[in-house]
Amino acid sequence: MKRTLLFSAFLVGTYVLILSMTLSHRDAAGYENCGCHPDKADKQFIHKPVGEGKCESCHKPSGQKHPRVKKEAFILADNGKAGLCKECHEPKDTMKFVHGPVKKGDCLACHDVHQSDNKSQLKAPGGQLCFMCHEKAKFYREHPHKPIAEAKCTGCHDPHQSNVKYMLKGQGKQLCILCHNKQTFTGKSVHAPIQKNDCGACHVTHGTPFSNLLKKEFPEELYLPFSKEKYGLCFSCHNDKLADDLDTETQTNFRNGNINIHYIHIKKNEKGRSCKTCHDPHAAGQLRLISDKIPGFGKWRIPIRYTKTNNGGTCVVGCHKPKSYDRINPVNNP
Amino acid sequence: MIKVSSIIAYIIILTTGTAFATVEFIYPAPSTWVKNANHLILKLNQNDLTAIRISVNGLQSDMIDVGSPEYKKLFQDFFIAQTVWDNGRNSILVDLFTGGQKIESAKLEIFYLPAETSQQAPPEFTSNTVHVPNTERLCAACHNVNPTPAQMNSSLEKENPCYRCHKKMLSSRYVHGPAGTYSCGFCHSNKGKPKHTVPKRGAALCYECHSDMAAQIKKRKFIHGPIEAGMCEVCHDSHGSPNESQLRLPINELCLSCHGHIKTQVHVVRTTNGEGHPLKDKPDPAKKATGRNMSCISCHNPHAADVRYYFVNNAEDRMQLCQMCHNK
Repeated sequence: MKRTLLFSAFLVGTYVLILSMTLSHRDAAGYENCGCHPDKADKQFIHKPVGEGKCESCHKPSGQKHPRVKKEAFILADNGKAGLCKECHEPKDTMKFVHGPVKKGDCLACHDVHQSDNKSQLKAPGGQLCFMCHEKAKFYREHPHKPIAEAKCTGCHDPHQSNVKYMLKGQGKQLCILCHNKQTFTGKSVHAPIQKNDCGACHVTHGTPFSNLLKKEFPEELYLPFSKEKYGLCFSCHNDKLADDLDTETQTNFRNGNINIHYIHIKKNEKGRSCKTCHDPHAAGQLRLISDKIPGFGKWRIPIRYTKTNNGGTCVVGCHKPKSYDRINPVNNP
Repeated sequence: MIKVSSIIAYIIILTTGTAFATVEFIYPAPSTWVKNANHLILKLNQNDLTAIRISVNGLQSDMIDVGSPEYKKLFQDFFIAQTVWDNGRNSILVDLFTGGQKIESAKLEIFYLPAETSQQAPPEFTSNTVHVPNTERLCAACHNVNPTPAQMNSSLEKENPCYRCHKKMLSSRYVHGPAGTYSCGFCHSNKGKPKHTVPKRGAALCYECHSDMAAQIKKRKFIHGPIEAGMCEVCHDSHGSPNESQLRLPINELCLSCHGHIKTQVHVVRTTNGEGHPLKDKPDPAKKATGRNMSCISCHNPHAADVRYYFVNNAEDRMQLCQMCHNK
């Protein structure tokens, strides 16, 4: 009886031992014999093989006994540079413009190979990563582009490579319409720089001392006293004499006979009209970048209907009664 | 027999008195008052007329051909004339001719109240309404009297049926934005009663767009009576006028049409020459930028203000108002 008991105790003991061995093996499954390095999979974002305990998929045994031999016990392909990553990942250096570290194969400049608290095991979140190399102060702007203000550099830049300079995600307008409504840039008339796909003619993408990322001054207001400086942006291409004199034959084509109608609209000490009161700087539904509707007040958005004639035109607009102009035979507006 | 003939006579009188009168006055309707001097519209219910002649308060027109095939093709039996009414009562006499022979005359009495007067029509005149089924029935052959909201807002003259008859509204110097762009449907609705009237009156309608004005006025302690009552139209013409801000009269005249006693007093202060403070015809020193002349609104805000008399800016210091011009 006593022997039977002893035997069964042995059996139970063996079972418990086997069970506990199995359990401990399962516990260590994440590291598969790498139990000395238990903290490689603690953070939120973990490199897939690390999480799966497949350390050997990168750290290939050299045949030397570990842990007696340290590093030499394992071989990292390409010394842990891009060559190793390319064993699983598509190459990221095939396009025309490649990010410096990618070109050098130094993936680990940005990525932590095992784990990190940031997506894609990046070494720092968002723009902070970029600012590890690219001096942050250089990107300070009084009126920054929203992605810059939010440190989302990758809104425009591909961090690895692109066929567009500066690793941009698109060329010219194509980049901007990733976020900005495409409709803004289409219409019956489109501003020449936009036609040429060159948003950069007026805007600086990171930001400027002026609002709306503009290169030079351009007023936000619809009404303001006239000054050439205020319209620095427009006048950097367009004739800045267009409102110099009330009586002119040359300064502008917006004339009734010799009466300069640009002058009448904008050259005022108090409520001079801004260019954008009538013209949309991007694109518009009517000729000469004239907007279909302009901001009014309340539920009233002021309609404009411009009709071109050979030597002038007619404007039906919520600002004044319908009026016409003609450069050759001045119209007498009743 | 007598009975029968009197009934026949009665029928004849009845019919000639209404639908078969030779001249049917469509606009203005008899004994109505109008505030626009724009059209006289008649229907001539006799086919062999060759000419008509119109007299307004005794002033006679030339003979006007209404019998030629060209005329008939264009106007059928209608007669539409551009008119200039005299202020107040207008007696219109229409003489009808067939082959040079005057065959009949018809009379119309109307009352013209130009927008800029604060005068009222005598009680025997009622307001004139064209957009009623009986009149619209006559117009519908040539005019679209049931435009869609889109047509009522079309800034293309050709597409907007309102414009054809009401375009004269736009001949004044200052035109309200929606009127100037033929955005009639912005305020008027074909669901209005009578048809095409505005569904809301006064401030309730105006503030839909001029919400900034509503907010601005709400903040003020003292609000000018008509504004408090929501009667924007007392001072502003909702379509247009010869005066800035579509005011019904030039600014001082407008104010004095209610506050007439100011004319009889020396206003603000008696100056050394015995006259009061300049109220007009002198440049307003506080408005150098715009080159405006002095007017009531140089000192008074016509809508509302934080101090009594709606002074424009002396909430903190009484002298502030004077110092706008009389500084140092």
